[in-house]
Amino acid sequence: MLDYLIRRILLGLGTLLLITFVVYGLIRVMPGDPLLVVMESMGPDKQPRPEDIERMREMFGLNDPWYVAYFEWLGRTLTGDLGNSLSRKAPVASLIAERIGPTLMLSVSSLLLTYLLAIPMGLYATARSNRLDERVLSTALYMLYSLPSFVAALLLQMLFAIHLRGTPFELPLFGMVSDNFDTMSRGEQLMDLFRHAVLPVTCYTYASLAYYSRFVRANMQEVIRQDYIRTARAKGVGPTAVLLKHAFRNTLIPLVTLIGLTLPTLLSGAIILEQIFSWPGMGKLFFESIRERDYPTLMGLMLMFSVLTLLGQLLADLLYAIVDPRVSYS
Amino acid sequence: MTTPVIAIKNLRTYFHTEEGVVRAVDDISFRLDEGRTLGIVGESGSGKSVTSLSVMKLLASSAKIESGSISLLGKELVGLPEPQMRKLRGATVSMIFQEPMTSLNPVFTVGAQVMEALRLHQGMSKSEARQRTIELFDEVGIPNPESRVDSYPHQMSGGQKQRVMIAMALSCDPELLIADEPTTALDVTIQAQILDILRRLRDSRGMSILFITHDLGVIAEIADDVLVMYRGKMVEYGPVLDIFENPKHPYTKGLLSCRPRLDSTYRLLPTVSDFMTTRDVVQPDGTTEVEVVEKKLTEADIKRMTTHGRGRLLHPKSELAAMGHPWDEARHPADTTAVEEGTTPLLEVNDLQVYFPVRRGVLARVVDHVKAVDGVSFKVYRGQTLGLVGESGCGKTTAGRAILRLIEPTGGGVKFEGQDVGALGSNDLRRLRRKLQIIFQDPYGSLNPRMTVESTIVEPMNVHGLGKSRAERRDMAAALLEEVDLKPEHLRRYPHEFSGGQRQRICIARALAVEPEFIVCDESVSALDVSVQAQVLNLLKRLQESRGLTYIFISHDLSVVKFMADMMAVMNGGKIVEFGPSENIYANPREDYTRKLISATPDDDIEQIRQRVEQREAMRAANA
Repeated sequence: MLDYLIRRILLGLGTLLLITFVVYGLIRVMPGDPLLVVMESMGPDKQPRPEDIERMREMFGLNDPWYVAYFEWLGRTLTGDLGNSLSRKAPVASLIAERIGPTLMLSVSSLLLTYLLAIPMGLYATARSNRLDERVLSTALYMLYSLPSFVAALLLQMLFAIHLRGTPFELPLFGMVSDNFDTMSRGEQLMDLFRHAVLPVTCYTYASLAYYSRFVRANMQEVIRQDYIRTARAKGVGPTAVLLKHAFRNTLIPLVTLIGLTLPTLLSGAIILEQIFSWPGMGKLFFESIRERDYPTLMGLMLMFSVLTLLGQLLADLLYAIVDPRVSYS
Repeated sequence: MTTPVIAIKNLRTYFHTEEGVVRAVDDISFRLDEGRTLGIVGESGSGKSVTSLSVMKLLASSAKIESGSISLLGKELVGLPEPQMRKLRGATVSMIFQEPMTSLNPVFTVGAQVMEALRLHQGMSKSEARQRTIELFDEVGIPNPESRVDSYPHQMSGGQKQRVMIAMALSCDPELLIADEPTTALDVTIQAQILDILRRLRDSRGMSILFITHDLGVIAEIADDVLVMYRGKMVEYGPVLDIFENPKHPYTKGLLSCRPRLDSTYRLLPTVSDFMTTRDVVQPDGTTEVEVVEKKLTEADIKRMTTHGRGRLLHPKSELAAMGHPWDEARHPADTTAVEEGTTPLLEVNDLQVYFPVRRGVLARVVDHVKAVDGVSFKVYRGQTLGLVGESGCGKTTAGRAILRLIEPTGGGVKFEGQDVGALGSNDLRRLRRKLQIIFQDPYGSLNPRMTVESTIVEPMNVHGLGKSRAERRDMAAALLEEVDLKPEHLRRYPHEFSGGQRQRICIARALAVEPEFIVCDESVSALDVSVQAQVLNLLKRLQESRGLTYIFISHDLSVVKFMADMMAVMNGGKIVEFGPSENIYANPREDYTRKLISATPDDDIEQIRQRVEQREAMRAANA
């Protein structure tokens, strides 16, 4: 087991090196650079002098070939320094740190909500397979699934922030907190946060809800056709126990893969949704740093996502050994 | 008259499918008394499993009991509400299934799965149930039951899993045990052990068994009465001795004759179609009924099957003498021949080794080896059949694959027509593969479900550049299908439209597509019903004669190997323990292991059955 873990971590470090190298190259071949982006936003009369541009290019390391710049970045990163953002004049690490909270708030609550709803729904759909209520539920979920979340977000915003304005159901249009947040009491602050989070969390959840519940259902239906389910029924086990005990334990095996894949998305945020709701999270930071060609921030974020992806896979593999006795790493 | 354990009257179970109604069970009646065993025998699709699932009321949702009565200890099961039925399942009537590999839940320990039934029906506490499970494991012959209860299914062999299934089924002392093909997926040696356990437990507990199988040989070993099913109907029903001694229905006669028996001299096996022809008659309600017309098999016909066909072709006399089986004119049938001295063998295997590495540590270093094939040597001459026989895990399949270099051998050499196979580069190897083909065990898994029969058969022709045009290749494929007794119009169909036996014929046609000289048949008939097995074995023999093929025939069943093979190699633990002419090995086995394989073969000799029946009657009289 320990051998396996050590081997996996060594392999992971190698993979990480390769990923960051390729990603750095890709980022640098994107057209434009941070200075050009800034200059575009300035009026033609306020353009800096060529010698100033040259000085800044030198300062930001833009004159070096990208692979030289990569190794500089790598050297710094290995000492624990992710560098400073080019456009925000702040260390990348602290930029990421301040965005983690809001993003986790959205992603963790919607992930929990998804699992809490999707698993019972999938089990229910299996138990009531092909009956009217199951078909209605499945069709409804499928329709929701095919509705893009940004469309749903706009529709929800229209409904709750505009049509229901003035009613107790009114919800804020965007942002994470109201302007007068600092003057509120502790309880009011929580309520304010909650009211701001309802719409983004709903949008975040419903799309994955359809996906997860169908996933649970599809896997359950595969499992209940197996011989050992017939064995369980032949020894007199009731339908509920057959479903929850004998079948569901086996469905956990593919669910674990999904959990591993979910880990990086917990922090990557939902780029579009955070934009629509002006949620100050990771997705928004990611989007903006691409637009601003903010190389250090982009690399910091990519590094974090890569680590999480690799960790997620490792976690999934380790969980396999727990839920599936046939898997062992010794 | 006492209440029968189970009495079925005029049972009809139909499947309602999109293509119409299928009469899976059509008017079946029987009774089974305490302590007795009823064998239900029939081929795949005869309705025997549907009968047993009707008793358990575990039918698929498309199946429905249309009419009739099932009475379990006087209690009517047809129409019994599901919650009450659930109380009977596992307690009064329990069941074991064909596939021990998939019948246990992989994520629970085997002990927990047996304990579940005990806690459910007998209200035992966890520790009581565990104690009882250990006793049950001991009773069904699982070694170290105290530690084995905590094993997971994947840590056990097929035979042990089937023992767990038996322990589970017997845990709540049921009055009736339904055993649905419980030994079909197992080696003959394991089959013999499982039959032994079932007989012993039946007699010690006074339990009744409904034993379902396609193999009359197994029936002879265990049943008191026999019910023969054919296409949903009951064609014969009576005491076991009557059925074996004096079968009335042509289907029963066919089933009895098509088993390759160890002591028989058949060169081609009689098949069911030698005894009868069938005709589908469409009924007014749209369903079809089958009409059976008996064919009279004359003495001359039977004689033809024992003398017609090729005689045995043995190794050169000097080699026979060297292996301690000297040529003996008097003992061999007149048309047995020996290969001429000095002939180059078609295939020569020298000290073949296949080791699988066992890896440990961070760097996954090889710390040990599993010696699957450990120094195997033999020769096969052109036109011969060499049989490789042994139990699961003896290395016979690995040896077969290593010969074709489907697995790279660890050591030793394989020569084909004097050419060293191991030294060939990939292009030469591909050219050689044209001459060497293999037919696998599982006709379901070894055909690509997304490829038509035509593309399946034509693909190897394309690889080896056979046939000038598409049209020509299609014609060749059509001719191959006719050669294996299928029809050219089957070319456009997909594998799922065929039965197991038909699929195996497609696999044979695919192997023949490249006009090979040498074919490895790896358990090629083990997954088939005995009646279908006979047809496929005959086909392989016929093809051998018409095409001059050379076979290595691999099986766990010594009776099948003896029927097919000129020379036989008995394998155990990766080594050949005995090698010689098939008839000699059967008649005079020298190794205990060979004797064990021979005695495991089901014995349906009339005198044996008579003895068993008399013993059973004496036992019943003593108990009464």
